[in-house]
Amino acid sequence: MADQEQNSSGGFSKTTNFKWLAVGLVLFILIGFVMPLPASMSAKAASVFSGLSADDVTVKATHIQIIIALLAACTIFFATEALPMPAVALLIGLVQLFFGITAPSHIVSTYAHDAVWFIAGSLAIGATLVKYGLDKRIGMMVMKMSGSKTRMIVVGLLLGTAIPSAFINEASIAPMYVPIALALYTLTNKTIPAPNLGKLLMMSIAVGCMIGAPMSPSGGARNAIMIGFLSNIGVEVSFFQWMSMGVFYTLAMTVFMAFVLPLVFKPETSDLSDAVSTLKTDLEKHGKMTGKQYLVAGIMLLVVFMWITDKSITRNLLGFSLGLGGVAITGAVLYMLLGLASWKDYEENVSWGVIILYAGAISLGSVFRASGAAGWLADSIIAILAPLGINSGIALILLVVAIGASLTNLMSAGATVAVIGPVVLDMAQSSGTNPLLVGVGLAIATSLAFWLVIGTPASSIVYSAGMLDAKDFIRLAIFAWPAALAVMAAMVSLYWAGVLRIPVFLE
Amino acid sequence: MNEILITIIVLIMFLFVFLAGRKEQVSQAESDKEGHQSEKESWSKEEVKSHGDIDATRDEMNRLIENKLDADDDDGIRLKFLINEWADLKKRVFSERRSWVRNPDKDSE
Repeated sequence: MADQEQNSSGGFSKTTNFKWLAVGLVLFILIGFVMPLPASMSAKAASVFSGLSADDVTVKATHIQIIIALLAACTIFFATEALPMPAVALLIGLVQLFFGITAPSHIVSTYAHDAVWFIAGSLAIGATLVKYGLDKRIGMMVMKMSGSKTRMIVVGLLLGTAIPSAFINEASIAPMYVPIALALYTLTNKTIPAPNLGKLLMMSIAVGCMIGAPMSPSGGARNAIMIGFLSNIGVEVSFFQWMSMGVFYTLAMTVFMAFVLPLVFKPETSDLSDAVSTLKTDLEKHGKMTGKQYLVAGIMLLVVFMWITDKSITRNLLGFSLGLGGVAITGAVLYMLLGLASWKDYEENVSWGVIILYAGAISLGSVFRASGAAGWLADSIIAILAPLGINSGIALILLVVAIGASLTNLMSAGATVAVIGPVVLDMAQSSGTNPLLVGVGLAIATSLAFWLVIGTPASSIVYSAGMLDAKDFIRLAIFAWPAALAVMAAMVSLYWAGVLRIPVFLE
Repeated sequence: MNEILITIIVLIMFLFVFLAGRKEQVSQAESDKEGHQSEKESWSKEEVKSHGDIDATRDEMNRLIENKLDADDDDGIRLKFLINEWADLKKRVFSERRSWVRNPDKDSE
């Protein structure tokens, strides 16, 4: 799960930053209590909760206002990591509780969703793969297959990080590849000074993780959250359907980056034969895969197979599907039943804070929708966009993609989806646009965090290795960010609408 | 009018917070990088010996002790104990500073 990412950032390890806490609270009070109740909110409350008395409608409209204020405060907290992130997730429930927005008996249920199980199970499976060193095995396999040409090694690093990042937390993948890149650089640097080679190899790792995560629902908690939001509005997305939509972006960006990365960071040598041969000798000392490693890998493959066939074979066999979360938890429990993982392993190596954080995001999305706040915000934005002709169809999807791709450079990918996901889905519904395209488009767009060293955990990890400067990320982003947006535009209009024949408008 | 004013204030606050918040996080990432660099530098100052070199030095020191002191001398036994302990520590340092790539022992399970 790529969004275990959060764990490596300050949002989990820091204590409260009172300056930003105060800013968030001021914003909450300003929007929730100082701003006069807009008439449009009362109208929205009356339309969502028909049959209520005027006084009750006013109460419901006030709830909409408080939820909008909560969203604004959460945005501040997500962007600044002013509070420990799980505390923000719990605050979301407390605000609902204290202001009487959700009944106390229903608060906990707003945190519960198959997506939360999916995140927990995926993190546990990822932790077991890492425990048995299967992540390293992937790295060793990539080195065996990549040859010794610099360009081919870049392709190997891109694919070797992108494919596992679709299934395992990218914060586990990147640190595993950094020593490989460092060894290649150090061994080459002994004979030819090769700073650009170092930058190229490190950046390939970060980029590979970024472009791999959108490929499958398990590529990041943000994807799972979006699946949760979509399911709340009655749109079910299967693992296979997501993969068929996301694979275009990963492949197209891999091809693009394989050309662009060596142009931006021109390597001093095009052949790394000596370094590769020394590295391979070292890697061979690790021996062959053990029986336990085969078993762990086999169960992982079984889980992926069950994810892909959940809505087809499983449904035909059982008469119902298990859900992505059900399958993920099956895998995690199977590891324990077979003695491959202990509960302590899960306790120590799974970031439970991440699970709480995204359960909070699900709760926010749920109350955002149920209170009518998402609908009110969506209507307000649509009213602004309508005269510009970008309020529906492909234009709306591309607008959402552009907003997501921008915001993800200012907040984490998961926070971006959590904050704007419910609004854009409501915009899609009210304009007749297919919410599936808007939702998946937004989730994929949040992987475009090319601009900053803190864009993704993989970026921070390769940056801390010491070969890259902050300006190297900007140098790459100048080409990569607009290109990724162009790839997304092609994906939406040609691949999704044309090849996959997913309707842009719903009847 | 109030709504528009408050919306503008909120948007300006968001912009400020996004930029300032990210700046703080970037400086945190930079200090992490510097931390890693200084750790690397301190490792580079460390006198690192391979397992073979350590064993050779240990044998040489043990021989020296045996030649200079009686085999049953308490001081000799204590010195040998210290030298063995030093050799074990040196070997651990040698292994620990290597990444998983060059250190098969670090392979999990």
